[in-house]
Amino acid sequence: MKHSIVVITVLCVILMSCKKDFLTLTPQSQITDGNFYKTSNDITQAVTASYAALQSGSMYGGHFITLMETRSDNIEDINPGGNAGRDYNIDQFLAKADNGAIRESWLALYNAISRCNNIIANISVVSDATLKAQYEGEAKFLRALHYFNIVRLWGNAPLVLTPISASEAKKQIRNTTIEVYGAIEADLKAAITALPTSFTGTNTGRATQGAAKALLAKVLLTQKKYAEAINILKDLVPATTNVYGYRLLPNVADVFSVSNKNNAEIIFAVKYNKAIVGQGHGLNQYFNQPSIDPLLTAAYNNTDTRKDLLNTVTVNANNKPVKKYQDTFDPSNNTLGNDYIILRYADVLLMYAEALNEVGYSSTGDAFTYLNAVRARANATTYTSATLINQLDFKNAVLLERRLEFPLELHRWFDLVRTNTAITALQNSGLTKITIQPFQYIYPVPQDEINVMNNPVGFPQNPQY
Amino acid sequence: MQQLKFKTMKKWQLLISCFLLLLATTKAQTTISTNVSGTVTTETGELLNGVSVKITSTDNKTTVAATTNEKGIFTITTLKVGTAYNFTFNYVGYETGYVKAFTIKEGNGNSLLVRLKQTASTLDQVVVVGYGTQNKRDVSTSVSSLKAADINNFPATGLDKALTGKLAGVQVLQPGGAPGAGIAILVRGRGTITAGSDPLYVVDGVPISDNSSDGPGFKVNPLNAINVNDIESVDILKDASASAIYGSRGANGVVIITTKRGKKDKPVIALNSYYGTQEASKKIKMMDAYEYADLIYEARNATYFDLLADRGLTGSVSDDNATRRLKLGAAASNDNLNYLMPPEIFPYLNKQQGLPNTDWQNEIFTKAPMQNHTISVGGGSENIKYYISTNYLDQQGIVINSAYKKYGGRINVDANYQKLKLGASINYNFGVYNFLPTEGRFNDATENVISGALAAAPFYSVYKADGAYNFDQARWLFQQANTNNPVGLAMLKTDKTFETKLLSNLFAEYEILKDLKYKVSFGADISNYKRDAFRPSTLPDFVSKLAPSNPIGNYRTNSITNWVVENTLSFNKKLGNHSIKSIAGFSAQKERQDASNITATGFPNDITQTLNAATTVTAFSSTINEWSLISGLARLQYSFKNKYLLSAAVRTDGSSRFGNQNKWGYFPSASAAWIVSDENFMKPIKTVSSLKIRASYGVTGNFQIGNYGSYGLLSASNYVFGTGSGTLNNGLALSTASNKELGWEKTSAVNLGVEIGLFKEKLHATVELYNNNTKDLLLNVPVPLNTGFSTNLVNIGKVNNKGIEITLASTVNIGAITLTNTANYSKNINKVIDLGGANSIITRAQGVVDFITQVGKPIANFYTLVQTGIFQNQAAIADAKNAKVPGAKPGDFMYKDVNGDGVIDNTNDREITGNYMPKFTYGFSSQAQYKMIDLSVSIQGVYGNTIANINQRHMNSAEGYANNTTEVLERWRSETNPGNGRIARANRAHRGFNAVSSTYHLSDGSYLRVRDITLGVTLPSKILAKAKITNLRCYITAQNPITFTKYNSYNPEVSIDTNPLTPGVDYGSYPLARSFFFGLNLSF
Repeated sequence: MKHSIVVITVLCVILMSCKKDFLTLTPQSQITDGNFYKTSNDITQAVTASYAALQSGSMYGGHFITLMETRSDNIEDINPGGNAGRDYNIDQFLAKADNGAIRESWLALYNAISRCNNIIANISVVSDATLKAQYEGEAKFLRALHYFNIVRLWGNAPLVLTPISASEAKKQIRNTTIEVYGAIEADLKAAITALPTSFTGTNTGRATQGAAKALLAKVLLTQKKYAEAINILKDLVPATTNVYGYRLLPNVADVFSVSNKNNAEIIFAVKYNKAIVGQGHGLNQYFNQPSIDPLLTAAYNNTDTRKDLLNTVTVNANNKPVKKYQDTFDPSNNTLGNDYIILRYADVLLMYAEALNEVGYSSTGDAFTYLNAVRARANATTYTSATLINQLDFKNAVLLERRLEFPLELHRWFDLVRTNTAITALQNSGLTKITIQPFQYIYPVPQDEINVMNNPVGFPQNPQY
Repeated sequence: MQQLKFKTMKKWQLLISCFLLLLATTKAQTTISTNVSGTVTTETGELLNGVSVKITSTDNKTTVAATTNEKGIFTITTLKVGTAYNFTFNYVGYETGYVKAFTIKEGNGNSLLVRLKQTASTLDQVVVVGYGTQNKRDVSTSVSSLKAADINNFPATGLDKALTGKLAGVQVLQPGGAPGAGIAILVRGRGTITAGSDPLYVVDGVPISDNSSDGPGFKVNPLNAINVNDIESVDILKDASASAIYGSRGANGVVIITTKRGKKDKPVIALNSYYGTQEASKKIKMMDAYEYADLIYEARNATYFDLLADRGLTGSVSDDNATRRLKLGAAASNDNLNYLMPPEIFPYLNKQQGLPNTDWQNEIFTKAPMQNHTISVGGGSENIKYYISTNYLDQQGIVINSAYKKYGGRINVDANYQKLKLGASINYNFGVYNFLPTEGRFNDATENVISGALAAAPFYSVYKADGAYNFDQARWLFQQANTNNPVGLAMLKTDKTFETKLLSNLFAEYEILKDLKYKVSFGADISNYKRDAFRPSTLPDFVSKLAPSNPIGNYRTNSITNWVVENTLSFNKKLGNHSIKSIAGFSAQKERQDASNITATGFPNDITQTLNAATTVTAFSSTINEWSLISGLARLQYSFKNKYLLSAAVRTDGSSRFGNQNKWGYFPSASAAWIVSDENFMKPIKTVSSLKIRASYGVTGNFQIGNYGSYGLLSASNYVFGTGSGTLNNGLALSTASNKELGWEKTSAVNLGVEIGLFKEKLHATVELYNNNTKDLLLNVPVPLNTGFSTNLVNIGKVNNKGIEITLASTVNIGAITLTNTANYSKNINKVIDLGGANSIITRAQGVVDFITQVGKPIANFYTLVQTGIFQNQAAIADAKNAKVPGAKPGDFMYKDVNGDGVIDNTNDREITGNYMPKFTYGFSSQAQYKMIDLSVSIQGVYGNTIANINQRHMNSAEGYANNTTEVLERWRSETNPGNGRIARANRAHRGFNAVSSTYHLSDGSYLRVRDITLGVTLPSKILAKAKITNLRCYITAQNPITFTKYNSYNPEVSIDTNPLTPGVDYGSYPLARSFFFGLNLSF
């Protein structure tokens, strides 16, 4: 009998002691968060995936063009029935909180943020200090970019800065734009410290310190923090002598050429490669024979080389893209490979000119120099203190210049909003004239999100939606 | 010592008998009176306290009474030596025992040992309750039981067939009739939405694997491996208090199967055999070639005229195809247009005779033989007992070229040595499935043979003149369905699965102290599947529809190993009026699944069909899946005076399937029962022979989710870095969210039961009421999008099931006829209480029919348009009273305007239009025994459920691209010829919403089925004794002979979707077989 008790006790002890391992089974045929984010190589792949998010059809690969460009006065949606009016309604300011593109973009942005959050939360597994700093910097740059898009599209938004569960997410409130901008600035400042000035070889295309600075400048400019913006921009601006090597290409068409990717004017772009399955994109409907505001094309000087970029070129019967986004279809994948530029040097110059003018008009100096640099490169007539006689003239000239320089590059809507000129611009468009109200400067939060959060106080819908 | 044996009184049946053993001395005596004592026990030797003993002298002059004490002993001191007495023993729940004409001997050696047999169908059967057995009398929870006699007397390929309709609250669904196909058992409705709803199966103490992964092409019945003839009993734990001993796996009920074991006796050899044929129990009446040609003609003309009207043109029904193309501006060479007339139909329109007119159902259905043989030997000595059986089953399918064969064997051994008991149960099974895809849409990649036969045009012959299969229909132009010859598909493809299964349990039990036992057992459930499929070149290619095609080979393996170790310590004690049974223990269980799947093409010919002959591997995978479970359990059962019963149990389970923060769950339960009939105040009420009231409460769990549900899954998300266009960098990102808090779905349940026996147990009734609340539902719910995901598997939401179950049993003797009837009725009301903030979940099955699961309503309601009739004329379309149906013309469907906006749209005008869960289910079985003849009938029914027969989208569409049922002959043709009022006008391209899922596609699924009628003859033992045969019974059985139903497809039990949110969808299914068998039970 004693024997049996001993045997039982031993068996109990053995079984109980192996309990913890026994119940911890990680998948062997699937990669999960249970067995990922464990090594430096895992983080490398997670960082790659955080860039891949940018290609999403709900972001730069699709909906952003509707949300950021079609919404403006530059182009018009000519397919009201497409996707049950999803995109048309955004263009015509009819979109409600149940709009699919709005929901999908919100979801894609927060999905992209979660990718960044997982990298940042698990960054300690990277032992190489340089790599660790770089990965963290890249994740923070991308996270800042996503929040910058979120805050400009929706205003107040939940700030999710760590991986969270559904129950934690349910407790989120819509943080104020000031808080969101604070987080964006903090991320970008960290990224500036962490990122190298440039990447070469196989790492070309990653976010650099220059990209972080350019984005930070844009963030500051949007908040009308002109002095701070100037402070950042002045590192980037000096042509040929800036440490990042940024400069204007002599021929503006070369900036967009698919054979001239990663050129000196590009600061940050979403990269594609049409020859690789899954890495090409289809032709965006708005780049294919777009309905462009005739007032925009009329605003170019006849000599302006940028005007031609809006003319279409025939690839085949159905595909006639604007020259800016011209490429041939890959024969096997049937996709295109243009990179979508998010930040480029001309933008930096125009931001600098704008910021300087906001601080104080000067009839000579850098503001005119850099505004004219952009115009001169495009073979447009340059401005003088005689043509732009005061701060307001200059301000309007910069805004117009941005319109001429960046059509179909997703700047126009945000430029109109931050300069509070959207209402007049849409009323004076050469396309359908639309009367909008200030509440329409931001989009409604997706209805699904409002429903699930179910917190009218902490997580309300935007007013009047 | 002399041992005397008294024959039993055969009161009702052979089965109900009483054995008595009597021990007495033989010494002669002359004293006037002496001590007589005796012990009364159960058959298994348990002492019976309180048995009333009546002793009457054979001359009826003296009568003495006595009662046994707690040791089961009675003593009488006043009996006269040399006188003969009759002893009568009465105890509730036991057959009356008799010792007749026992002559009292001199001295104190007069002693009797009496064993009382429990009465059947009353409180006192033995019931297996999980980790032990109990007398039914002592059970305070809800358990349904079925004994060997209920199972073995008629043919059944599996246990499920035997269970169907027999037990209240246990719904056995037989969704597929394919040979060897799985079943679904639902105990007390559905408490879960996304987790599995299968009960836990426990075979000889081993909780078997719940792995239902795709074996031969369909869900394999987990009970297939068990030979029905080996089963001693099936006990189903229905309430949470009963099943709480299985903790996290008990929420869907527990089915406990106990197999036969050897008894101490000479070897008993038994043969159970049956042989018979099966045929399709139903054929759907489809149009013949002439009727179908008419439909095509009418449908295409309707489309033609619609298109002409759109363009303001006119035309004639007799316009030839060239004219039609010309008028509508199509290229002269374009045959792929839905308003042209396929030339194939003209000979039929002209009523030419002698043309092909194939009834495809006749071609694919066949009369199929089936046989099953089991030989078993059971016996043993005091110390070693054995039961050995071997089994062979051969079931040909009623669809050509489908079959299931299996070969099985079982060895159950028990050995005793002093205080040590050893035992083993080993079951080995080898099965071969010949699979044919018979479920799903016609024409899809699965190449479903049955839907294909329904859709196939009768214009085509099965074979060409040279004897080869005719595949012309696969290339039929004019936008007619390109159906592959279903006979060719069935005969040319091979798809075989070889299954080996080992189910074993070894145990050792040691009696440490008196009443204290330690038991260790090791169980293993091992399944291996190898599936080999080949699609030969003789079948047309998927795209070109031409043969020879590139042959496709597929090879899959699936190996599942599940082991469990259990250690228990039990202590049973009787002290006076107190009786305690207790058990405590712990167990560990683990399962590993290894699966691989390779598809390859490029075989040079059809001769070598194994993958070594292929040149290109097109798909491959190899996966490992594991889960583990550790549990501790304890239970205490207490009874006072055998009439006040209490039981309490707790189990704790830790599972690998849940998140780190919620790995462990605790499942307590308690129950109480009161045997009212044992109270003195009940004694005068003679009509009530037994009455028990019981109540229970318990908490159980459900862990049937994927193995790694708490983890977030990552998927590839690549990007290009580098100069130029860049090179590919592998990226990985979460594609589903993780949930570290993922835990058990918990059901807390209250059960109230009353069991009453009337008129000396001639009528017995059990009524149960239950209320089950499931909370923390494992739901894939919408989550805040700011998590980066739109849905996540979380514990949220509540579902309530409440219901009533009534079981009635009666046994009456009318002359020499013994008639046993049982009837059961169960009603379950299911209601969603909470969906974690969301008000409803809308799900879509097969891409066409929507379901809504909504707070306040049952799970998974059909959510469709409501068809209200047919627009008879243009005036009805213009009438503002009728909601506008965009595009509709006279002859098209009208719908209910649910949102009242005057216009029908297929999103906002949907409403709840039915549910697959029945309002109630019932069963009835009756058995009559007249001398050597027995006759039994069992009936099963379901009432008040709805089925979406979405195959009607094709075969009742009146569109004429695939063959239609003869019901479509009753279609709307004009206002004066409106048909049966149900079928729309013929039109190849419907305007309106005729093709959108609506109540038109739903059907009442109620049915009443006679499951079997069996007539048996047992030869008299006098005749058999000469041949040394103990028992010989022959029987004939008709299975599924009649079904009463309004359902308009093969089988109202169908459901091709296993998703609990989309049940009750019929998209072509294997018909149930109607079978006739001759069987034999022989033992010697």
